[in-house]
Amino acid sequence: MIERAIGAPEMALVVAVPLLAACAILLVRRRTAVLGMVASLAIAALAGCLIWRIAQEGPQRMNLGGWSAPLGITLYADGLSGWMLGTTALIALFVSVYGSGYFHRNQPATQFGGTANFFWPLWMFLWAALNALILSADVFNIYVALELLGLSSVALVTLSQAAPAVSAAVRYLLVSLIGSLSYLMGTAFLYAGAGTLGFKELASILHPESFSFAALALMSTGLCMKSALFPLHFWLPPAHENAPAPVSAALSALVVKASFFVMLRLWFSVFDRVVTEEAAMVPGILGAAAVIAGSVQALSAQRLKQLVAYSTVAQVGYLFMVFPLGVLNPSSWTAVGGALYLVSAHACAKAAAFMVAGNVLRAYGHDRIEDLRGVVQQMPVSMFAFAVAGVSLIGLPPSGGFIAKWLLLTAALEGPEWGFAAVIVAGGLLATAYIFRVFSRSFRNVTDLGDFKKIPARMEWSALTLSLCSMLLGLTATHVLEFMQAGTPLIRVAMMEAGP
Amino acid sequence: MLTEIKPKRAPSLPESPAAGFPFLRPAAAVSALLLFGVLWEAFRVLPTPRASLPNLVRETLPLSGVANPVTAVILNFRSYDTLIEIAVLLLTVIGARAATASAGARLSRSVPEPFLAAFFRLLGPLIIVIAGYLLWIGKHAPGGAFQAGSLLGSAAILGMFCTGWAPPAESGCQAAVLCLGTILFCAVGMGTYLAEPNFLHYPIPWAGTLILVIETGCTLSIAAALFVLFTICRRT
Amino acid sequence: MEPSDLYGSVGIALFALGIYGATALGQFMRQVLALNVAGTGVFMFLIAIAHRAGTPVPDPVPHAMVLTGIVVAVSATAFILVLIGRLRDLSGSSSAQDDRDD
Repeated sequence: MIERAIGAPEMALVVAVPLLAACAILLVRRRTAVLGMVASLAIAALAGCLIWRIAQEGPQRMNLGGWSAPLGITLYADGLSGWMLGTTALIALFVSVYGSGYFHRNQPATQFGGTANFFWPLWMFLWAALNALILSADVFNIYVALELLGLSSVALVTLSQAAPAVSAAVRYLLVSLIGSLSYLMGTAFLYAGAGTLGFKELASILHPESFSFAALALMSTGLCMKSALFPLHFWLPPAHENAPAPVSAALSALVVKASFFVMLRLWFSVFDRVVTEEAAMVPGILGAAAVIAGSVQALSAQRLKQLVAYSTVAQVGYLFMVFPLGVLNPSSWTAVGGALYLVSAHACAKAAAFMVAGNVLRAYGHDRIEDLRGVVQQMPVSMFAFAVAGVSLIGLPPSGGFIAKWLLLTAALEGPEWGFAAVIVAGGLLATAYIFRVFSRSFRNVTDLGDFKKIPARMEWSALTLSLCSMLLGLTATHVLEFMQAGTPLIRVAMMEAGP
Repeated sequence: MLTEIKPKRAPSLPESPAAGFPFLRPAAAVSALLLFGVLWEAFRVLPTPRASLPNLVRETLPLSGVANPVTAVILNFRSYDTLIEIAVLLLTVIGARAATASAGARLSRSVPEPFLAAFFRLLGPLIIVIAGYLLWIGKHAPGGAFQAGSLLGSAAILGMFCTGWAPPAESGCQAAVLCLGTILFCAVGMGTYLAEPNFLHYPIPWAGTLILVIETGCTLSIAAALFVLFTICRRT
Repeated sequence: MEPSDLYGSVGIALFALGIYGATALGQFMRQVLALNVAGTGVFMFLIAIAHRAGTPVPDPVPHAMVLTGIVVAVSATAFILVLIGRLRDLSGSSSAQDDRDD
């Protein structure tokens, strides 16, 4: 049936513009950094317009091609998606700034000079995939977007051109493909049983039946693999450690969250009649294990990037605890708001942390934690950024991380889920330990400093800005939480009635 | 006789981390059996299908500009999926290029027999014509951009083997053909905003033409992408 | 048993078999092949579903999904093969095993 849905054009443009920008950069091949920055600003502006529109007019729905679901594909933007999109745009913009400094033309050709021309198109593809994933309201469309996301992430990891990076990339791609295939099989079961692929229709059709459980299990397994949930997290530390710093920042901050976001949507909006408390305990327990395992491994990491990568494993564990905490009463925003807040605060803080690690690596040629003596004297801006990011990662007030963990802890105590509450507290203590491990080495005054190479200012300042953003999130909590609830996205009925 | 540069003894294939866990195989075997059992049971008790979507496609088919329902679904009703999929293909080529950027070109140039070159002179144009036919027939019967693109790509690979022609490592023309599909798709999508305030919303009288334009661009892109991927694989 | 039931079951069997191979086999190349087997299983399952609909013509939507899935699977396989080749070059050139002349 043809239905004219006048959705915001930004919803489609925010995917089409990065794709066109990637093609343009491939065709022009000169001044790639300038083109990349212009494109980044344009995409960020589009995302900002969409967020403003959601705040003013409410949720936006766009039936692509003029065909309404179930015939066509629908894009849907409510407070949740708008917030994810905004976070993505903010982090991606600063990753672009950082990348323009990192992949400088004057770098020796063997290292990064030639790869600058590859970084920008691949980065545009990654951003397009993220936007497509966040806005999509169709399960098969999400599969294709997940593949685009996975392939572009792996391609970016291989930019380091070194053997450990390629080895990590193969592992990452293998896990990613198994996850995608599992998700696709789940989609096939969904279509077999329900006869449609759109979120709205599925939400009204799905009941606790064999095929719904099978589809839920398959899709969740695939998405958990892509988010590096314990115990399928083994691919993440090598991949994020060996990728170039801007790529690590984007991967840890955005890519692992995207599949979590899809899972959140599926569990609470599409499958909400199918999920049970017992089923929700599975990701919850695995998440709790991830917090402990990741933090413990971060304590024994030798290199800064390795430490930050294991920290990602731990923080992703917090996110998956939202499933048991939220399933009990999904319309209460405590658990879900906490998880989403953690997505943004962690994204800002982790991206900043990886940028600082990249700065250290570029300046000193190594990032061994034991040998980080005196770094604070030569790179005060970067170390201050790392300190602020660390505050958010630990969860101290007034950072965004504190708000997030506070909300999650409140939800756990409401349950009462003492186990999860204990894990949240323990995770905070462990994070304190591994963050301070870095500071105890770097904040020493030494007279003999090693070789130091000056790094572009924008690399340091983008790290600082992002870490300050994570702090800013903590100060604007009420407004953010109010915006996220635009369209009351977690109540299934709202999805059926929202939109023009 | 075919003369080839004798290849050096190739290093053994890389081992995966799974090789290090002896208990992994029986555990995975048991899990796979369980997986099969669970899925088969779910498949066995699937509810009777509601044929709402196929009927909907059949009813809306006259408005889509083509007569083949699969082409209508791929290039009109769910064209956004196809757009992202073409982007995936382009991305793969760029990614493969990026990963092998610092590898030297070790493409062994084989001088083929003259018989093969003559054979290709007959076969090549035939394949191109058949590819064009597949592209055109996609409107009414199974066919379309992907089938035609694969055929064209394999023709290019065959030509490379038969005539010994090796493509240049990188050229602007190659990049243009690779990007053609994606650019056309996005351009048409944004261009439809002139007619209807929606993305990829073909005006009904123009639908068939627009679909053909997009399919042609995609055919060329798919053929180029498959060919370039093959040459990159051959180099490593 | 209807033909579509048989094809669907075989598709599920191939999927399970491929997942087993992709997780448990000891060489990347074999894992990639297993992944392709699993992918073929999923596509076969989708085509079996298309026949279940009971309409005079098979359901075109799963066919479209299979076409898209094939393109994506081919791209992904090509990319991972390039990476495995690159890995072999990078580790082969630094391995202690000398190249012997055959």
